[in-house]
Amino acid sequence: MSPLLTTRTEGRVLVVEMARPQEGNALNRELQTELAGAWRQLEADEELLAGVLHGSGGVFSVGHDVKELASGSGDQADPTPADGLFPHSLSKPVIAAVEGACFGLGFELAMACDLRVAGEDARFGFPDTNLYVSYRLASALLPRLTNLGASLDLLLTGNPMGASRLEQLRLVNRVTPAGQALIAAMDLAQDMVEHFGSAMAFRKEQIWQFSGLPLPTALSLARASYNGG
Amino acid sequence: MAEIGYLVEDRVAIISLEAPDRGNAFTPAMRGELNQVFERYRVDEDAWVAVICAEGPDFCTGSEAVPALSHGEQRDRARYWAGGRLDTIKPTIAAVQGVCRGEGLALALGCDLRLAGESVAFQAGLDSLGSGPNVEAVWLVNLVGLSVALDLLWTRRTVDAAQAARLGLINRLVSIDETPAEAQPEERPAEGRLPVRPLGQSIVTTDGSARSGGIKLARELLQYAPVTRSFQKETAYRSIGVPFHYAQTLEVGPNPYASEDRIEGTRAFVENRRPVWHNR
Amino acid sequence: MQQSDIQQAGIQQSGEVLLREQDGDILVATMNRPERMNALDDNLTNALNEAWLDFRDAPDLKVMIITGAGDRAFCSGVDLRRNDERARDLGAQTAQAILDADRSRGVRLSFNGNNFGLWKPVIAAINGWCLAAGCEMAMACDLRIMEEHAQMGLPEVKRGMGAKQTTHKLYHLTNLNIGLEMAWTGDTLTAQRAYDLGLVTEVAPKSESVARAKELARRICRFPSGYLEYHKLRVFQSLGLPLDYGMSIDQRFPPQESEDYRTGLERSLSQGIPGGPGQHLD
Repeated sequence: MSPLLTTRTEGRVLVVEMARPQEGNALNRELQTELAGAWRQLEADEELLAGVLHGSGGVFSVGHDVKELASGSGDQADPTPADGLFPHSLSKPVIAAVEGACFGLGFELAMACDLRVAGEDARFGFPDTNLYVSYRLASALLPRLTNLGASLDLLLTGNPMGASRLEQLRLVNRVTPAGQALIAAMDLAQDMVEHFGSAMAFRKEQIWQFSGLPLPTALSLARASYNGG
Repeated sequence: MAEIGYLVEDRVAIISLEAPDRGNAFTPAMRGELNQVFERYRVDEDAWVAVICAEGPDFCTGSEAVPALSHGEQRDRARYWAGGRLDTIKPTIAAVQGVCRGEGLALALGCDLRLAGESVAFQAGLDSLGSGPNVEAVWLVNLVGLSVALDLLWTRRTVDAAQAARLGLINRLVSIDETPAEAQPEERPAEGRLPVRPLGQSIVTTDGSARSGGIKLARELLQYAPVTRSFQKETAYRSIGVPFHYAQTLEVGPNPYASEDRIEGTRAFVENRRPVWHNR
Repeated sequence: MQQSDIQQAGIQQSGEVLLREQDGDILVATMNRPERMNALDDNLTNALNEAWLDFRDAPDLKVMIITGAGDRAFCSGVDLRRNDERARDLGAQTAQAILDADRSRGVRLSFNGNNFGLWKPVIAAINGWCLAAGCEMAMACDLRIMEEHAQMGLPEVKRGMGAKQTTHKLYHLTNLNIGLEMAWTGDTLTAQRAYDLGLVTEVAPKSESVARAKELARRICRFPSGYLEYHKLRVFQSLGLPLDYGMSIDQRFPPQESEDYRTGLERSLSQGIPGGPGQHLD
């Protein structure tokens, strides 16, 4: 097992930990690739039904590994996220448990999870005013999680927001006392897998798809999945 | 026709679920009735705003289990899930109390506005649907955003009145006015310009029921221009899922700028009086 | 009206009805008809149009702030007395014909519809009543700061009009429920409610919205213009599209291909990464 990422199984939940606390869990190319691998494992293993993602050392992730971008070559100097880094395209739910900094690419990673549980001291945003990269996922997804004004606020001012404000703005689902996010996220995940029992039952792909479809189209898709009864 | 009521009073259509003995759970027959009543409202020129409410402590607990539905019954069931939102350009207000889940939730979320009494308990857990259509999810994603929608659908938490207001799931709370009737100030006479009020204040009625709150909100809407309402409803819904800069060029619904009511509305403002609307 | 006429009218009047002040990279435009609650007449509209264009094209300006003179109103909308006179003269159908003709000529510059490619950030400093077309203007800004006594609303439904430039985006700005209620009742948002809904970034004490907006603008100015325009454009381009498509749009001039990118990385390394070990979270 690589030292950058650890995974363990608890019941039917895959717990994924970013383990570069010395670097604020900065997402270098290697960690991105390992995360993509963890998501493939979650998707492929039929015994697993949900994932929980967190960072070690009281930090979720500070985002891009700027050191690597500045000194790397080829892929390592490319700020484009690695293929498969974002778990929104899986059929199984992933919950982000966020403490401390959740910035830049790390914030995008949390956004691409289905639910976010945050310790009250967690901070979210794009505060590195010297890092000029393209936040493609955030630009499209933030307005669907919160609203237009809050999205532009986060992206254009770089000012981070706290967990309670983002709960009010609907991006954070639960706020816990500092240090308790992982425990609360595990409780949620265990409760969900007990009740749903199969990846199909979550209907995740369909629900994500409803965001950004015309209402008549979304409604007919919803009805098309209906098999009587 | 026994389990769905339809009554028009002063331009307000009151559509009520009247099977409180079984928590207003839907049966195929009741579903069919509701579709007919919606159609009646759609074409009823005397009804400008509809309130959808329910008798008994619970708005609707879901649906009665039936072994198998005929093709026609399935079609009925699928149809009303579009609810008031897309089938008519006139407003529909859901007035909800007690338990609201399953098909009842789909009905309430399918209305344009929602208000709720203190007792409300929304249950949006996806598991209550079984293999049913996922219409609640369409409404939820559009009402409260993707993140909260997934939360409500997956974690099966019950949402009470205060939470529903905070999440934007409902527009107003209804509460009871405990001032004795004789101490009530008389209704302000309808003169002068229309009042300016802060948005989203609780609705206070003498019995505090969701139904009375719904009727009060409906009467409030009737003070305002019906052509504008229809235009705004169509525009709001038809803009969803449409590229932003294209959405603002949409021409849907009646055009208030070409209406007689617009001339009347502007003139009434200048003359410092209440407008009289003709819905044309 | 031709473009040159618009500009001419603006130049003649902008010293009076629209005040402009440049503060570094920031342009502050103040609607200056306080005796009419900063209502929009032709002069003010033309002066505003000229200001949006100037701001868009000025390489030394990064952020614009729009506000109203006095502490009563940001902007109370278009002058209804003038509208009433026109309606009496023309009747409903003819009034619509004029609107249609305007549109088909395609010359009308619309800030609310952003039909002229303004991708630099604009902040509304809402210093008082913000109603009807004034509210629509604030809704078309990217960020809003609202003074504690201010209220914003769309009273069009009380006059039989439409809030046509805003109804389609209420959904993105608030949510479907609240947006429709706002449009259908004409009820106003207090500053606190607007903050709770995420419609405004900050509630400011009375008379301090411009100072607070400048503070926010200075935060924005830390980024290069290219970065700001890229992301603002991306957000608006992807609204209303299926999510996967919205994320995968290929857009020219991504910030990582700019000249600023390399020097930014060096600066980032020497100044420390926000949130990193030993760093503050802000």
